[in-house]
Amino acid sequence: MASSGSGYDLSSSTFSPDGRIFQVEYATKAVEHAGTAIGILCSDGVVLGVQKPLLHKLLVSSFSQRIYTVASNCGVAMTGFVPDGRQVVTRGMEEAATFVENYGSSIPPSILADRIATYVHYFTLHGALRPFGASVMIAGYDEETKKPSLSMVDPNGVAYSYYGCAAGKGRQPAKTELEKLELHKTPITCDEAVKQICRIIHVLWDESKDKPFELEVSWLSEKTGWKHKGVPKEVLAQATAWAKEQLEEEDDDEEEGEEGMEE
Amino acid sequence: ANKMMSSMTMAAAAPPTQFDVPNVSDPALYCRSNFASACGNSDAAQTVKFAKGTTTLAFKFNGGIIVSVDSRSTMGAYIASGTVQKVIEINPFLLGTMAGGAADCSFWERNLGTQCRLYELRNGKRISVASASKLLANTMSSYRGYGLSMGTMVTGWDETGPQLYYVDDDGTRLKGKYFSVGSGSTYAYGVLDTHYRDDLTVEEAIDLGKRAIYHATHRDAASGGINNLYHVTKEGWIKVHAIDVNDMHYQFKEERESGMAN
Repeated sequence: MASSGSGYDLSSSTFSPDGRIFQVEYATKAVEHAGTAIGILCSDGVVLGVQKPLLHKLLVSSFSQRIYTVASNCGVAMTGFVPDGRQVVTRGMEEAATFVENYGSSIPPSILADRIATYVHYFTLHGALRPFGASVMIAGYDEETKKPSLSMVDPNGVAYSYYGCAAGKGRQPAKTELEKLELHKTPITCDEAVKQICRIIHVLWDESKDKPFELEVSWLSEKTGWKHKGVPKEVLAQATAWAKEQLEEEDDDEEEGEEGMEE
Repeated sequence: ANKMMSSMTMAAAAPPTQFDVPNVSDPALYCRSNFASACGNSDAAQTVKFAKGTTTLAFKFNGGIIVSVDSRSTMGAYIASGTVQKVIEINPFLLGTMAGGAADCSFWERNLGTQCRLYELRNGKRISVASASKLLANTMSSYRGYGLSMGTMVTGWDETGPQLYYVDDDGTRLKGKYFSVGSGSTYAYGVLDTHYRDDLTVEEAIDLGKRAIYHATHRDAASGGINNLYHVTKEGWIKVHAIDVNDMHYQFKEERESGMAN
């Protein structure tokens, strides 16, 4: 799939003859190697989930965080190069803090997404800088319109608003699963979304091929007082147990189906 | 990269980059000692006093916000003008009032209008009253100690409903249901405190705004002229009336007399 850059891919300040900036495309590819991240906009809030592959047996898993609270009403999840993602998240925190200083109220998530997108885009304009190899998802609650929202920013610096979005290694199958949920027609609740995210991540995980992983899930809803928080461990454990049950049922159904066909 | 980014994403409309400051070693001290703040009589020693003296008031009620002001400008005992526009139309849905230094008020509220417009263009939606008042308060804070004189009320109707904020030259920013600012404010508060209710009808509210200014202009020498009254609704502000307070005097006198006769 990768076409040879043949000299037009050495710098982000160079267009190729067919109108592409290869460095930005390569940056997007870097995100595709990392753990899957999923975001779902619900009827009563927003849920974010990121799969963290545990690369070594001796790794202390809780150390490297993927989801951050950038402002009390906004959370950001990232996937891709972790240090690149950290830089973008930190910028988000600065934007949110200076917004309060200048405007006296918490930053509306649409404006935060726009500011983060402008920042990420800036790094695709300079020959001396490389683009970020990370995608971020912004979950937030707008205190003026009283609505939750979900946006995602790609390495090329564009921000879109979503009912459901996915990034990282398993993003294609994750998007297919999300489309099956028809979130744009009938939104689900946050509790339901936590379960679905667990299920989708487990569906994508291949025990023989992939490394073991830890799942980081956070939410922002009426129940949390519209503050961005990590999902409590018990809730996450229940959701994971439910997800594994669902997978076993699906496997059983498949076996029965095969038997049926043989007869 | 960081500095460039700051100026790109975070700069609101910058005030003029340079002002002429007095050609002395400490401009801030010079301003403080020679251009005393308009509050109180700290400029009693000065030969040419700042144009000030005023009564302005604004109050929130269920039908929106009433903004009612006088129109007199005094320099010491000299009435410099009887036709000052003390309500500044920042944009079709935000109003600001003028008290203190007239130049400071009109300049910085006009600057606020520029910043509000840039916010709209950058973010695709109208600025909230809370944010607009914060921008003005930040400007005042950054010039603190330089002798600015401004006591204003920023008011409008945004997504969260009717809003009223008081902002002054030392960076104070207060949210409230009603405020009165200026040398005649004590008299206006007397009337407002007595008759203010959340559930006034629009006519009652307009009458209250009118009356409060009348009483202030009657007793405060530095207030008078014409009562300019505005009503802020969900669709924006409208100017309700501009009535000479002397005419009001005879109207209220008749009222009192017919009241006493009954």
